[in-house]
Amino acid sequence: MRRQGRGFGPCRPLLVVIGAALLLTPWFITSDADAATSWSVGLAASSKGEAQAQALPAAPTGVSAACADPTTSKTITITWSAVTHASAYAVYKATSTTSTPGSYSSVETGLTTTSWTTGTLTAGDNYWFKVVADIGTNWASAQSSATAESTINSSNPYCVQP
Amino acid sequence: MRWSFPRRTNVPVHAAARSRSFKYKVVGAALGTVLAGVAAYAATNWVVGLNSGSSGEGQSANIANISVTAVSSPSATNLLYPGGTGDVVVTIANSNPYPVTITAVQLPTNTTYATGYTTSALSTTQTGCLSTTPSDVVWNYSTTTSGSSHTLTTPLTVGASGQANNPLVATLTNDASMTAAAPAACTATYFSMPSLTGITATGGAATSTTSPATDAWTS
Repeated sequence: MRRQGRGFGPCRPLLVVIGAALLLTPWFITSDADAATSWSVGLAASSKGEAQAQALPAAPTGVSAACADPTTSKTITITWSAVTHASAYAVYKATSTTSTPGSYSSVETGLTTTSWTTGTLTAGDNYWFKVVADIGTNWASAQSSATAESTINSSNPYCVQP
Repeated sequence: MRWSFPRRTNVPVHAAARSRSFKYKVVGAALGTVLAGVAAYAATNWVVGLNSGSSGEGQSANIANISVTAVSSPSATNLLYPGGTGDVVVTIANSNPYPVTITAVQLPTNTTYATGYTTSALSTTQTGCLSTTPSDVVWNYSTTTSGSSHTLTTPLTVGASGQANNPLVATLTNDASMTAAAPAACTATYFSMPSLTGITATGGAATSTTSPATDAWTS
């Protein structure tokens, strides 16, 4: 007697399990891969590694003064060498009627170039200049060496360098 | 009317039994393949977390966290200055029995400042240049949001425990920044950078990065 067969009747439970596994597997894989966890970590205060800041910048070098135009003007141009990382420069001036400079005072700040020309100076006075390099708001170099004495006259030559 | 699979008629009994046996084998083979694939994937990659410096963190079994600490050698060559950036040198240790690859770091906010020290030993704080002053030294590219993620230019792979390149020393080029308003007391100062909030790392077979290494995040 021939028996009437059925389709995958006895395999139905297995088919259900396989189907569920195929549906759920991507979820399991991606959930683990995507669970990128992160925890806080401290850098121990006593550890030996770190970032480091540079020292204060060195004073500008190569500072010199020259008469802008001795035949016509009583002005002096000061130039100096650039300082690495300097964000600005300041110029200080000392004045005297003798060959001994007085105290230096600031005459210009916030300069972003390495030269500066004075306004009209007073005849009969001698002048010396120093330059300071600034880095940021609060870091400043020491003052540079002074320029040579410059003399302003009332007649041509109006400006004399030694 | 109840629905059922279509019936087949005139099927011999012994043929039906062979047919069922074959079906069982096919189904079993398919199920085994699926299970083997899932197991193989699970055995290949693990997510790795980051050690906390202040307290222990919960973690999956068989996965140890990575520790990242500051180190003074090799010395940073790009030094900080107001308005500029500088290098940060770190050492990364892995206690897992397999290499761990780091692809990104998560940073604290850009108002979480480093503490300044008088020497590279980081034992004596620098007066007037503390995190609370503030020092104005932060991780470069950090944002107002804690935990911002930054991808390394090149993934760093720390060797397995006991193997070469573990710990791994790395110089993070220009990944510290100092604002223009940094105090004058911070000149010639050494900084312990603020704690990272996390890392993105995975464990698994990989070639370790040769120590010391140079790397960075640039955004």
